[in-house]
Amino acid sequence: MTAHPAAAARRPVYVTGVGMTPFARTHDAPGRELAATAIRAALADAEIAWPEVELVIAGVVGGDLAAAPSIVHELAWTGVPAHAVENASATGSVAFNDAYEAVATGRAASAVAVGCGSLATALGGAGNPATRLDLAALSGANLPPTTFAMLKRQRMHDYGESDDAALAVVAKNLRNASRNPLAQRRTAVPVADLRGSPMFADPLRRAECCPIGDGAAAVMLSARPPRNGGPAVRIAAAVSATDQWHPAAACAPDPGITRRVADTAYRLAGITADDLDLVEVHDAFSVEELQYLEDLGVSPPGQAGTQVFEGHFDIGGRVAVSPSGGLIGRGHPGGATGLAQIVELVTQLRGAAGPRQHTRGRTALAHMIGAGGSCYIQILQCEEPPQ
Amino acid sequence: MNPSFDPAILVTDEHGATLISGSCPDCGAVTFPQRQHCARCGSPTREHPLPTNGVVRSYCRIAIPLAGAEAPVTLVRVELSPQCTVQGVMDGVVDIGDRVALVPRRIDGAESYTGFGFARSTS
Repeated sequence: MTAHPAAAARRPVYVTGVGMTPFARTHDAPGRELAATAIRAALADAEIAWPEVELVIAGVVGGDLAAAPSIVHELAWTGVPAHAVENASATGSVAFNDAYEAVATGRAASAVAVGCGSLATALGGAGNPATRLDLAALSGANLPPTTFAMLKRQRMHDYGESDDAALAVVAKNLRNASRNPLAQRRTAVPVADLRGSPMFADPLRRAECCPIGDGAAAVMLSARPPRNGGPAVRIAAAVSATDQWHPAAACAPDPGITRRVADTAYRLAGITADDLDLVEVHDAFSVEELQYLEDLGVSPPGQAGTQVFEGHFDIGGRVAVSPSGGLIGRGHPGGATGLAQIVELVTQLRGAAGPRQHTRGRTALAHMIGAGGSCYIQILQCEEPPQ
Repeated sequence: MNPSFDPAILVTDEHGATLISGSCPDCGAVTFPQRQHCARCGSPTREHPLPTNGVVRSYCRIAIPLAGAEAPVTLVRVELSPQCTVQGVMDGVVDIGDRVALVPRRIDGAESYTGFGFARSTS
């Protein structure tokens, strides 16, 4: 397959530096300081100086006004243009895609995408579900776990998928996270022990829900290959879409959105799902990983549950899925999540992931969903695979 | 019966309760709740009462109360027509494929309202 003509209209863009703070339930430092820490790490990784950065796009959830300049003010006040973006869980992914577009179209030669802020802050004002009198609250549709408990039940019914399949996702991702020093949950838990986790929205257990925490991540993008001597990681696609009408729109996310965005991303990159070596998906709830792997074409419909048991998605398997630990293991602050996926994939493609290094690394995909109906996908390709 | 929690969404009378959607005269898509313009093609919609019986497509059980429902609460996702699936509180046990009927539900608080839920269909 050859690259889509739209890809040819853009100049090549490389990820030249990555950095992130540990993800944790809470941090004492405010988001702007965490973001600056992540930017400094990305600059050091890229071996470039802060004044060389021509654009800052900050993905911020739950932040104050003028969130982007406040991050810049934690560094030298170079006058660099900076603005904030937000799109729920996919906030960091928006920052990345916008920075990519700016560099790809020549608006800037280099840009930093940074993410910070916790969804815990943003979700704090949701109100008491026992007293709310709107449709979403009366029907339970405002509670994200119910959506994915419904999905899990439906897959168990339609495919005969076992309850343990979703638990195997959790066990895999916690195992990966236990090898990631920046992850929020660092204890591996086998499926047998996960069965004892209390039900949150039956059949979805508490352990199947990602932790919402805090932390920051930053990615340096440039029109020039990296100077640090490492392999060049090129952005082959960075796309998004919002949802379309479907019959269950009042209570469920658009079931076709990941497939549509993936199709566009594969076309732009000139690849198919079979070319993927590494994938980070939006596994906020265990069963999401199974569904999205099928929507992405990594697994045939109804077979992701069997394949996770068979080790297809393990580090060292057919395609490593959520090698960072995913949202379930590494954590899901909100602002930084999508960028943390990029940090992991770049680290893997460089062959620098240490004890969680996947065996092959040429093509990687990141996938995030933003509540309210958006999907973001990036495809990264290593131009010089690690030896 | 107490007043509807939202008369634009739920109409109640002596016969029971009906959910109100918007139907598109151009493309046939149904949006629930009704929007002025079709979510699929953008044409103006017409008020369209939804069927009051449907088939359970999925369900779950949550450990927290909702307005008018003590925990644990069973929630069902019900296909009322090929064009519209809705979600609500279920009275009693249920399984995927069961036929259920829309029922009014009493919501007591500082003021009392009528909401909706589902119960096994007798028809």
